[in-house]
Order: sequence, then structure tokens, then C-alpha cells
Amino acid sequence: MSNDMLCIDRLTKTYPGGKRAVDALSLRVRPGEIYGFIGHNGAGKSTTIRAVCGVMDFDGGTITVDGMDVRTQALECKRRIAYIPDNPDLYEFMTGRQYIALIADLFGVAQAERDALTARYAAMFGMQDSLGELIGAYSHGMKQKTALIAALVHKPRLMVLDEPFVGLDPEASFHLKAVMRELCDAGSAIFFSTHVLEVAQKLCDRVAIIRAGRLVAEGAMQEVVGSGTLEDVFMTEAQAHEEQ
Amino acid sequence: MRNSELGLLLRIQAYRFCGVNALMHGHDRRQRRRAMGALCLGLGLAAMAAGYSAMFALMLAQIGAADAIPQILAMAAAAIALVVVMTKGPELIFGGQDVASLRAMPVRTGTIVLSRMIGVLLPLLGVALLMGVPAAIVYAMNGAGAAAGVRLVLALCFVPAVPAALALLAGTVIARLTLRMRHRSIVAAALSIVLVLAVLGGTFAMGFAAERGTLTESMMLVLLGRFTQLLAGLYPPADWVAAAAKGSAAAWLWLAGTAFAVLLATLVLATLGFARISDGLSAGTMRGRSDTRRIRAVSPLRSLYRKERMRYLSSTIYLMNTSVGWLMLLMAAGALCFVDVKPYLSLLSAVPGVGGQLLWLLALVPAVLGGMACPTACSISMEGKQMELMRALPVRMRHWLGAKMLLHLTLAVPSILVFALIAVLRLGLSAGQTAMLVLYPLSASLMNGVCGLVLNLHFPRFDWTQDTQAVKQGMSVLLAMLIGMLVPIGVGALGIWLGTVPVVLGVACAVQLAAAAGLWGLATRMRMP
Repeated sequence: MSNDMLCIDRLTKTYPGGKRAVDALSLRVRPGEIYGFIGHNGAGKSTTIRAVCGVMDFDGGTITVDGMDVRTQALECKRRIAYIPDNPDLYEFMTGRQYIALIADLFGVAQAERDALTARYAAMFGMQDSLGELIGAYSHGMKQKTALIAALVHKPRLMVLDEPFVGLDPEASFHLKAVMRELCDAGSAIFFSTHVLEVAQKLCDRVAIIRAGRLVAEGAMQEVVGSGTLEDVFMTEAQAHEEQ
Repeated sequence: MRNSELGLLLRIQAYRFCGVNALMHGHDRRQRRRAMGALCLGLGLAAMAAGYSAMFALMLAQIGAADAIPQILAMAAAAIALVVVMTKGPELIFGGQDVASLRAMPVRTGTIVLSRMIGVLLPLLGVALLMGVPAAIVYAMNGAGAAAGVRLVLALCFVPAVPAALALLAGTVIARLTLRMRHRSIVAAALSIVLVLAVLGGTFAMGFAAERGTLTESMMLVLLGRFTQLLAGLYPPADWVAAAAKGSAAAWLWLAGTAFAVLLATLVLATLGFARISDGLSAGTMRGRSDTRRIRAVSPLRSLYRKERMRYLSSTIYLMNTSVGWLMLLMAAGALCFVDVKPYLSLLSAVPGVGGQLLWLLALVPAVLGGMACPTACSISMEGKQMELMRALPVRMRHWLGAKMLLHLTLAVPSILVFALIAVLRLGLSAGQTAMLVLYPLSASLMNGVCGLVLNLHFPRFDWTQDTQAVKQGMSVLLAMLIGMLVPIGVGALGIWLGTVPVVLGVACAVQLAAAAGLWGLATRMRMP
């Protein structure tokens, strides 16, 4: 059994109609790491993320979370993961507080712990006064914050985020980055996709660049960017791909 | 310009209709097979409805009441239009997930409203013709002549307009009145149900309230005569349809003139109020004073059940469509309290084979009414876009499905018990009849609930933009309704045919419980769709 928090080995996913979204993709995320997943639109980032979270089935390869297979031990894997999709479609007929309570119930978080963590993160993201309102009345950013609070309340071992900074105000983005680092310091791992390359470069310990479903660059941030920037690396890869 | 705008908007609706566009351009073979299956099922149901209409018209002709066919057809088409539009009209006109993008397009509001009104009216027209053509053939063959039959079909095309417009108006007023209420779905559903039942119940009650004593065939003819007179008074277009079928030019003028005038007025009113009502329907209500009450930690099953309850109460369409059978059962229980049903029972006892088994057959009433619409058959589709959320959570299938079953039983069990209690008190049932009146509907309800889940797991629909599409237009909903209603009818028919209704009911109870257990095992082993 490996000690990787997330291990993707030769993941392949082909959509009905024949489009291969992910092609033999392999990567590893270790405990304590913030791992950035970069790629253009349609590169296969969301497909990979959804496969990791057990939201979407895949055709080939294996994915393990904390040593457990997402296919055969789906429930155990999901207990360790917090997944924040790019467009958090939460239950609009619930209040934010009710939604967080639902997630806490499903993860079996004790009353005292959930109360304390909800209060802490609600204050951090400026949601104390809004959690009693219906989610249907929330803005995109407020939904994003509610999804984040609900995810943090059960102290995930692996946090998977698809474009987490979209829709967040600068203050919330600042706090989210701090929380991500705090979680990793406590032994969890973060795997997230983003188009904001500056943020990825500053925040991530490791990075992977995906293009047309294939990994084109992967490694520690310093190794990948060298003396340049992540944007330079990304654009160089893009040009190389166009020339092919 | 307006025509092209309208054509464009109608084309968008056509793309969505029955998933035709997905069928043409999708690559998922499984989805295609399902769409084809749904199409076949729809055609089968249409054939059944047409057959039922023809049989009803034949029955009227046989008792010498063929002249009543046009009025009864008109009334049936009007009642369907009223109920359908009252329950889903405001959302179809003013709501939907695509309303914001439509409003952002450079298209006149009136064109949006007109396209959506056409989208509501065309299916009603289809239903009117589906019922009308077979019955009109019977009408033509029983003395009225071919020309009268054709005129009847054409006249029926104008019928849905007035009730649809009135129902839309009433639905819109209710939507407008409840816009600022936090629990507007419940209030709107309650008001709509009361209004629909009041109109329908009032019409029939007025026709039959005066009758007492034993009913005979001649008495039925008298009642039918009074009923058609009543229709003419209560709903003049029913009389105009009859006159138009006979060739009255004035009736044609009234029929067409009223339909166009009412539709135009509705179009203008809906266009003027579109922005406000649409905003109200799509926006949530922020109270400015947040609910800070602590929510107690509960088990996953209870938490999911709480979520299902909230989902149920949040959607007027979901609430109204899946509670209608149980509401009708409670109304029947109420009617049992105040109406002397013994004359009707004595009439039904005269049906060959029924005889002394009538009180045993009472157990089929809650089963048939409960089978009309089962929330589990669309509860999975109702997850909609949020299904991705559920897939990512550590939820056991038995908890997820169990919560949906609990919601179904929350509606079914109290309704069955109330009906049984009142029936026992009013009809003096024996211990065996009482037990069967509780056990048979409960077993049927369990089977229907689990069957609805299995069907919805096989035929989920998450791409809907309006609740109506998930609640009313899914294949699982149609199949569950067919099974839910036809099984008890079949059980009753078998019991009468064999002459041992209690034994057949008892065996059916056991079979239904076994089927429910088997299907539950199957459902909980399936993967989340």
C-alpha cells in the first residue's frame, strides 16, 4: 500500500461518441501537498477531478485515495474527500445552515465539533449573517463559501477543488489559501484545478499540466517552472502542441 | 421580425420536446434506447386514452345518450386543460431555469410569453384531439352523420383555450399573491388544489346532490340529461361545441371569438406582469434576519429524510402532482362522513359477480388513488443538477433511497389509515374487511414506492429546466402510474372473475410485499445514476 493521498495510474476516459477526454494520465499527491492541476478548457481537468471523487466512472486505469480504490471502496474514499465543483449547485431549497448540517450528518461529525467549526469558518468567510437564509437567494460567491464551509466542517483528508477561486471575493480568496495551507500542515492534501497561474505558482508545492487528456508536464513547482514562470511553461507547451 | 423571433423560440421548445434533439444528436446509445422506449410508451398510452374515449362514447350511444357526447367531450377536454394549466402553467410561462437567458436575448417579452403559451396549448390540443376523434367517429356513426363528426373535432380544437387561460390567470394570481411568502410553494399548492377540487367537485356535486334512493339505468339517463343541462349553464362552451357540431354558425362565432379574445387578453396580461412574476419565481427571499438556530445532529437517514421533505415542500408542482391521489382519498373519506353512499353501493352490487364482495373491493380504492402518482417515481430525477453533489458524498444507497421511501410512506400511511377508520365507522365493515382495507393498500403502496424508485433509477432525468419535466414527463413516472393503477384494477377484476375477492386480495398482499422486498434488494444494489 502506497502512502500517497491520491494516486492516479493510467487513467483513461472516453465519452460516448468516441472523444477521449483523458488518456493514460498518471500522477500522485502526497499528504501535506498542495497540487495544482493546470490545463486549457476541455483539456480533461474536470473529467479527472470527477473521476477522482467517484462522480464519474472511467474506462481504464486506477485511482486510489489514501490507499483505497475509488471503484471498489467508493464509500471509504468519499469519507476522506471533500469535493467542491466549479459551479457549486447546492440544494437551493435549504438554508446554508441546513446544508452544512446535512453534510455534517452524512460525515458523522459530532455536534460540538460541527458547531465550533461552522462558527469558525462562517466568521472567516463572512457568512455568519447569511447561513440562515435559503441558498436559492445566495450569489455565486456565497454558494461557493457555503460549499467550502460544509467541506471544511468534516476535516477532509483530501480536498479536491475545481476552480475554487472563481466567484470568491479577494478577502475570501485570501482566507481560502490560508485554510488550504493549514489543512496541508495538518497532514491533509489539496488537489485543485485553476486557470489563475499566478495563484497556482505561489500556492502549489507540485503542479501538473494537462493538454488534450495527456500529461505534458509534472513535478515540483520549482522543477517545472525553473527560472521562468508557470505562465511561460504553459504557453511554451501550448505552442509546442500547436506546432505538432 | 416577430415571426422569426417566435419561430426561434418555438424551435428551442421543440428541441427540448421529448428529448428529440438529444435523440438526434446524442451519441449515448443507452440514452437513445431509452428515448425510443419512452416514445413507444407514450404512443401506447395515447392509444389507450383514445380507446377509453371510444368505449365511453359507445357506452353513451348504447344507452341512447349519443347526443350528450359533444358536451361531455368538451367538458372533459376543458377539465384536463384546467387541471394541467393550473398545476404547471405559471411555471411554464414565467419560470424555468432558462428564463434568465431568454430575457437577456434581444426578443420582445410578448414573443417569449406567446411562445410559451403555444408550448402549453399545443399538448392540450393534442389531448383534446386524441379524445375527440374516436368519440366523434362514434357520434357520427350514431345518427349525427360524418359532417357533424368532423365539425365536432374542429370545434373541440377551440375548447382548451378558455379553461387554460382562466387557469393560467388563477395560477398567476396565486403565484403573485404568494411571491413574498417564505413557504410559497406549500401555500400555492394548497390554494391551487383547493381551487381545482372546488371547481371539479362543485360541478359534479351539483349534478348529483339531489338524487337519493336506488339508481337505475333510466335514472342514469335522467341524471345525464340534467348533467348536460348543468354543463350548459356552468360552462357555456360545452353547449356551443354541441351546437357547432350540429352546424350552428352562431355557436362557431362564439366558440372561436371567445377563445381568441381570452387568449389575447391573457397574452397581454401575462406580458405586462412577466418581469415581476418571473423575478419573483426565480429569486429567493432574503429576510435580512438570519435563522441562527442550532440544527441537531441526526443519523444520515434522518438527515436525508429531512432533505427530501424540504425538497418536496419547496416545489409546488412536485407537491401537487404526487399528493393528488392521497388528497382525493382524504376527500373520499370526508365524503363518506357526510354522504349516504348506500344507494350507490346497492347499484354497484347489481353488477354481475360483485354481489356481496363489494365491501372487500373497497380496499382497491386507496390502492388505485395512491397509485395515480407516486413521489418516488420522480424523486431521483428531482435531484437534478445537484445529483453530482450526492454522487460525491459518502451516502449508502439504502439511506438515500430509504429517505425517498419514507417521504412516500409519510403521505401514504396516514391517508390509508384515515380512510380505513372512516370507512369502518360508516360502513360497518367486518374484521376481515377492515384488515384488508389497511393491509392491501399498504402493501400496494410499499410496492409502488419501491417500484417507482427502481424505475427512476433506470430512467432518471437530470437535464430538466422546469420541475414539470421531472415530475410529469419522465418515463418512470408514466410506468409507475400505469403499474400503480392497473395492478389493483387487475387484482379486483381477477377476484370478481374467480368469485373469491378476499382470497385474491390476500394473495395479492403477499405477492406485493414479496415484490417490494425483492425490488428493494435490487434497488439498493444498484449504482447511483
